[in-house]
Amino acid sequence: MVKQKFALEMKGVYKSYRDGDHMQPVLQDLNLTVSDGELVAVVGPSGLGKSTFLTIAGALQGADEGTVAVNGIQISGISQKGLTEVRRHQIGFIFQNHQLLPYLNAVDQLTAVQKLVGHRDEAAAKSLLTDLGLGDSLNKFPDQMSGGERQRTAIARAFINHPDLILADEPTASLDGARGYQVVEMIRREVKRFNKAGVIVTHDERVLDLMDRIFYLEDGRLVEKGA
Amino acid sequence: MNLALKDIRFHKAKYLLVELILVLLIFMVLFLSGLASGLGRAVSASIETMNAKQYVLSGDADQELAMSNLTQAQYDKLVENNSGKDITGLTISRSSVKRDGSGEQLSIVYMAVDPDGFLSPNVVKGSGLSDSGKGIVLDTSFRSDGYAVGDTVKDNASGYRFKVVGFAKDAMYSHVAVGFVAQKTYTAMRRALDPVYALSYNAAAVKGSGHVDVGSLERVSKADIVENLPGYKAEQMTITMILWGLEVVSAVILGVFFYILTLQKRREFGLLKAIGMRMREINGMLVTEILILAAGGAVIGNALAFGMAHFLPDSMPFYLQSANAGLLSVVFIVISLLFGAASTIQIAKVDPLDTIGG
Ligand SMILES: Nc1ncnc2c1ncn2[C@@H]1O[C@H](COP(=O)(O)OP(=O)(O)O)[C@@H](O)[C@H]1O
Ligand SMILES: [Mg+2]
Repeated sequence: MVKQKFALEMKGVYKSYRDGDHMQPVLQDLNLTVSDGELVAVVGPSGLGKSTFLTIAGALQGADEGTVAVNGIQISGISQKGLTEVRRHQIGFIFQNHQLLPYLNAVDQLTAVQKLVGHRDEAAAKSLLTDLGLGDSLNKFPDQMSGGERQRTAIARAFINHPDLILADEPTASLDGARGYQVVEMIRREVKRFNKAGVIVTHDERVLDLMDRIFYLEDGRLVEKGA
Repeated sequence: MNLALKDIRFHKAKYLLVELILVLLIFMVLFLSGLASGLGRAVSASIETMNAKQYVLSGDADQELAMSNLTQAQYDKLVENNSGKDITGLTISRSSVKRDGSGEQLSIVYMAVDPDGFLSPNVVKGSGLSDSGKGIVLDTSFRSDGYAVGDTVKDNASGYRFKVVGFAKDAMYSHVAVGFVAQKTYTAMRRALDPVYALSYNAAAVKGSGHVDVGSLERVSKADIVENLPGYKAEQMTITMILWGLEVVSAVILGVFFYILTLQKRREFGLLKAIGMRMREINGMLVTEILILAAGGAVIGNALAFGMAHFLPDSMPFYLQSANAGLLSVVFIVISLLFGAASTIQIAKVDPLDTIGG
């Protein structure tokens, strides 16, 4: 029997934070598997642990218990160094506040990431940015961009190396309804076109019709809608 | 490399200010170094440029040229006991001179030498000394006071008149400009006041560095002679202490600067970590940035200091040696890099989670 390789596989994940003198559990026995070519949403109100879940999936922090595998690579319990390599090669993370480096223009934001895994390919960077509607902003620095432009640049950065797992933390938060929908469509297009896996954390119900599967974060676990 | 340059280019104003401070610091250090060497040379240049490796002084002189006295008999015996060695006498005395036709009286140190010996000055203008005539070879600084070849100058003590036959470079002794005269001429001048004056010497200069049979006299190396020139040690110690004090203060300022620069970039470092940049790469970026700033500061600071040396008046004791400037610049860059390396500890502590927010 061949064991199936998932883009993301989380089993029995626990995570709690210290809150004064006791530990506040956030994730409790969380399970999730996402396959290639699949776009899933994790929905829930603020403060319930969506970002915590996503940063564990994104190799930005470890879980207290349970196992996490990205693209078949076990990342639970490995060193900071190892986590860095997983982030570098396997994951494209769209952070909640679309963090960009202030001193790089849109194209350089992408080429800097290209250089982490191979060679700088400015043409590819420009074409991706143009694809995402940033053709006129290629040379803009973050402080010259609108919120939407920054958001799309951050998305392009997550896409540019075509990582196997794309994670987005509330990508629609700072956008109006129509723009927010567009942004999620972009992520869906990338996922489908290159057969990658995508996980979007959101509390924006309007974009859910673009998802293949939808999970609700309840009491520290994920419950699939319609399951 | 690329990221470091782009960061600097984007934050031009900020890094320009940082660079300005770096340039000022290194310039200050170089300037002081130039003054230290310049003052040192004003005391010792004539001895430094002399072609002697060692000197023989009287035993009670405490290695101090001015305190030493060798009679003609002692000198002759020394030469006799060391036949085959190149030895020549040196007599030093202070006085003041006045050029005929000018009002100003100038201090001078006479150095009476054998015109055919190895202490005879190298003239940059005019001709050398000879036993005939009343020739004097003056330090070039007299030129800025209007002295020229062919002028007649009067020794104020004796009223004796010399004829300026040439100028020599770097002829300074204890902050006073030197006039070289032939021993015969010197004796003639002294006899104008004291008819029974007989030439004696402050020291016998030895050209080679080998053993010299000195009897009851004392053999002193050139370095020790310089060390024991009046004022030399105290001045050099004071200035060198200020110099290194300044270097330490500069280092602390640099350290604080780079610490703050790194602190300000914590967020960026967190983001770089979050997108999978390795510690080594981030550290490399920080160190590259500091190297660019420090090396740039050193280059500009050196250009300023050496450029300024060009425009300082000759009378200012400023002498910046490339070797000293190089050493100070390298120390400066190394200190910067050490602080850069220390700052990388902060990078290690950055948690990508803190900076990207949840
Ligand atoms: N580093 C942390 N230390 C302590 N508590 C934290 C930390 N990060 C998150 N929390 C807490 O965990 C809970 C879940 O946070 P988070 O995952 O950011 O939720 P969401 O993204 O769903 O808004 C919140 O109560 C938050 O205060
Ligand atoms: Mg969140």
